[in-house]
Amino acid sequence: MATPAILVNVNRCTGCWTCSLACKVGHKLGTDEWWQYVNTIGDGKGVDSPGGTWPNLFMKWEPVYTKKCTLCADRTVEGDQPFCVFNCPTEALTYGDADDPESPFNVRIEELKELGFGVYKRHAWEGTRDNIYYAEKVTAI
Amino acid sequence: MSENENFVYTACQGWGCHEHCVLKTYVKDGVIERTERAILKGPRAERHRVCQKGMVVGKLPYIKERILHPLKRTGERGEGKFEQISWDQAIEEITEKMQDSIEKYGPETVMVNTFCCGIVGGVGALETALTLRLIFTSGATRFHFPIIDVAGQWEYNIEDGDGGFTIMSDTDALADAKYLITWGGNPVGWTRAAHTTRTIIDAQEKGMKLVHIGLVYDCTAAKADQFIPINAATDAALALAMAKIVIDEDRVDEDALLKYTCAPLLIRDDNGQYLREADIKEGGDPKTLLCWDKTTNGPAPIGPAESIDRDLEDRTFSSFANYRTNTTVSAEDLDPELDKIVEINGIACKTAFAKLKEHLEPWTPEKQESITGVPAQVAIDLVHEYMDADPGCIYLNDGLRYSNGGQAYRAINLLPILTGNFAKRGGRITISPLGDGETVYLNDTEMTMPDGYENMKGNQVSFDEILESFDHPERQQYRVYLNTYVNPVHAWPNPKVVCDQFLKRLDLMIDIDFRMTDSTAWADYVLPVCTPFEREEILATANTMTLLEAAIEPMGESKPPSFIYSIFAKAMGVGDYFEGMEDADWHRLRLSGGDPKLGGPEPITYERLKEEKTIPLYGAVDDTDVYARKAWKFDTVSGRYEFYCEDLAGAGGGFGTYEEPRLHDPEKLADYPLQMYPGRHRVFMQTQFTEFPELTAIGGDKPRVSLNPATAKERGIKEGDLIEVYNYQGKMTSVATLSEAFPPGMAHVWYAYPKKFHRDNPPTVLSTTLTGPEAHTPMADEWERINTAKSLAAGVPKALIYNGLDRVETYWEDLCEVRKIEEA
Repeated sequence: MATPAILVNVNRCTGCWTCSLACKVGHKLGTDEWWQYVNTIGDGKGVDSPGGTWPNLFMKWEPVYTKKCTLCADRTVEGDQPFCVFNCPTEALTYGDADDPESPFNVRIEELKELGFGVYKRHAWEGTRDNIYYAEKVTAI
Repeated sequence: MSENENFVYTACQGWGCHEHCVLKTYVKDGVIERTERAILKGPRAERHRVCQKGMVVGKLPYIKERILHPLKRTGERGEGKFEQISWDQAIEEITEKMQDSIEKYGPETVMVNTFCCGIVGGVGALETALTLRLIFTSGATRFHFPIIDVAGQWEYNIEDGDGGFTIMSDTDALADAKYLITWGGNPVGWTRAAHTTRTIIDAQEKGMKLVHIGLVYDCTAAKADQFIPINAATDAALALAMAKIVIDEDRVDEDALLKYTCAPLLIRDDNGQYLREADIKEGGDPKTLLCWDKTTNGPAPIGPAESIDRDLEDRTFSSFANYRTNTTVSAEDLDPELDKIVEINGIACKTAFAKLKEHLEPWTPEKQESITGVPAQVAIDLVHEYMDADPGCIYLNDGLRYSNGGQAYRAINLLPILTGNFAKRGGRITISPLGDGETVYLNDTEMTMPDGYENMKGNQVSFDEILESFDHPERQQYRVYLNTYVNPVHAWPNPKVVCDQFLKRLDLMIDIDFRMTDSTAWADYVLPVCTPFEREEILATANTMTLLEAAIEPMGESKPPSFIYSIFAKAMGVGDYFEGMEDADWHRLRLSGGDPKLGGPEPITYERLKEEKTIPLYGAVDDTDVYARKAWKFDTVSGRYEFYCEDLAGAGGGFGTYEEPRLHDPEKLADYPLQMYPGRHRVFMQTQFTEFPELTAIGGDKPRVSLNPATAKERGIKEGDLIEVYNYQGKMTSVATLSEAFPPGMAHVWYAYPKKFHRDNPPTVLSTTLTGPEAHTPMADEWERINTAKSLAAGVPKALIYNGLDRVETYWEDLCEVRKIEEA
């Protein structure tokens, strides 16, 4: 595969950490070791802490992939999906070849664009893994 | 998979969340490596999802708190001091002590807890069937009917007769909802984190609007298109105001109301009872109910609900007093009037619909706002959107745990009933989602009543009766307690009652578990049971029959439940009913109940399951709305859906009503102005997942009490301060954390942490128990009085009577105050 990539659908993400734990257990990481974790976008105080003042609050989540993430190369070569992608309860993650327009990755991007989603990536200076894309639709209030 | 690696299917031990996920468990060299979601076969092969708990649950057999040998208490009850003993010694001593008690007090002295929601398979588990078999053959006492929510389950009884499933919706039908109100629960990404959440998210992506009515800003609130905060325990007020608008704006589904509900039935003004033929006619039938017939312009008999043409499900026995009792045949060409007020032979009466209109009259949007805090226009827009959606759905999820909750659910039920949403796929109401695709009859009668229904033994008593008996030696004594698959010391309020008034006073307490809990600490004997990873089970799930196999050999001396229940059976003199049966034999027996879904040209047998592991049910289709295929027979007096209950008319509960909650008690509020709210944490749910460092890393390794910053500031409390939470029941020490996710006026604590995580006391010390005078509400008492009597008169065995009332659970209605002890 030319460019393995993961698409994160932020609208489907519920911040449950199933992806992070699938990775941790699957790769037998240590208790304090996370190759991938979930960022709560809220008031910056931690997991599941919303921003704003009661009751005008906001919260969403972003899985973040560190450079340690291997995109489960040893699994994908066998035709399996990365641990995180396979186990996400809401199917918020899509894996595929970013260079192949027919890959599930790109097919999903097109589907979501039809629904009004935008696609973005994190900054290089954030020090996270490359080839992780985020799709999000901001609904009008 | 590599060499020496294989897999089995396991149902997640976190079963108590009711997502009922099936896992694929990978084993290598006799050790569980990991778990992942299972893909089964058939039309719903990928129905199962998994959550963060399901990812780590494979480590469960290896946790530090695992019990691997039988234990005998050495210290005092509650000290948790044990010595290891052999199974032989355990069996001998337990048998002797049980028999001793039975000789003195009869088999009823043995109490068996049947609250099965937390074990894999729940109501359909082998373990559950065996505990019932034990009770029904031996004459033991059934304790704690398997209900999880006092208010919600009670309401089923009243309106529906059955376990409330007739107007309910399978989770999957939510995929067709265009508008979903989650009311009082927090299912999305939280208490129903897997399949249910995925279904709701799918529907959202297809354009469904999600509106969340709740107390706190939780995950469901974050994912919702609209969050409506509401004052705790005021939900009925909002629902009644919404129902009034449905009627005022003429948006009722008259057809559905006339066909399926009590709406056209005439009710007497004088006593609130349904009008009977005997009331208006000499020699008239006292059972025949009446409506006003437009055809004849007079009263006419009206029969039960018309059943939609669908597969009928029959029951071989009933636990409901009104089981198909309405045999009235509707008059020919009956054309019932929906809204009628009339006097017949001097008796003033009106249709249930007309009476409902009167009942709803005062419930303006402004009146509800003054109670709920929901702005009038928000309530109006909400009901308009719900009415306009085709269909609109409401998802309750057992969140309204208040003394007024049952009546609140009845008020909320008016919405799908009046609008006709209840007859639409994707439009029904999900009160307490327990379904997962097709249910399969697993030969319950033969399994639990081997001598037949007519010969079943066993009693059922309330916790009140048990507690009172200790000080009344002239009454039946209850001295032996089999704590089967529950953790009551953690889950039930209040230790003063559960421990001091109950467990301490027993002659014998046996706890069956695979790990040490707050409850095992009180046992005389702890018997090590296998985890689901160490034994076999058969499971009807996702339109399959699936074999759940042991991933590893039972660790230590742990045994399958069947072994353990045989011990009790032998001790009680009914060992024959358990003799000579291995688990495989039990499964064969369960599969031979004749359910057509197990039939077909190649019947599903245990042998086939051993070969194929997972087999689609015969005739399984991808129609996800299983409740749509249940017969619409309501086991109520009228045989119709009864949003009006004549039995509760005397107590003021003919319809759903708004009753003042205990949170508004002015005397208590004066000293304890905050609501004490024990929330369920998504990465823990119950206690066992606090044993996993992977999960405490996310959920927190120490319990804290969360306060809105305004509430904290009023008390001079800052982040990290040591605080005391106290009320009329007790007190606990904790550390404060400040959060805008919780409204002012609340002290929030996560329910999941066992006692050992807390500084001194767990929050149950602050909770009011549902025993004794404090537990009673006039409505619930009245229902219990009437329903129990009716059920007994109808020949329902006491051990099967389903009042939906049990007083060992708690209401989330305790008040408290918080004070600072020390700076952070």
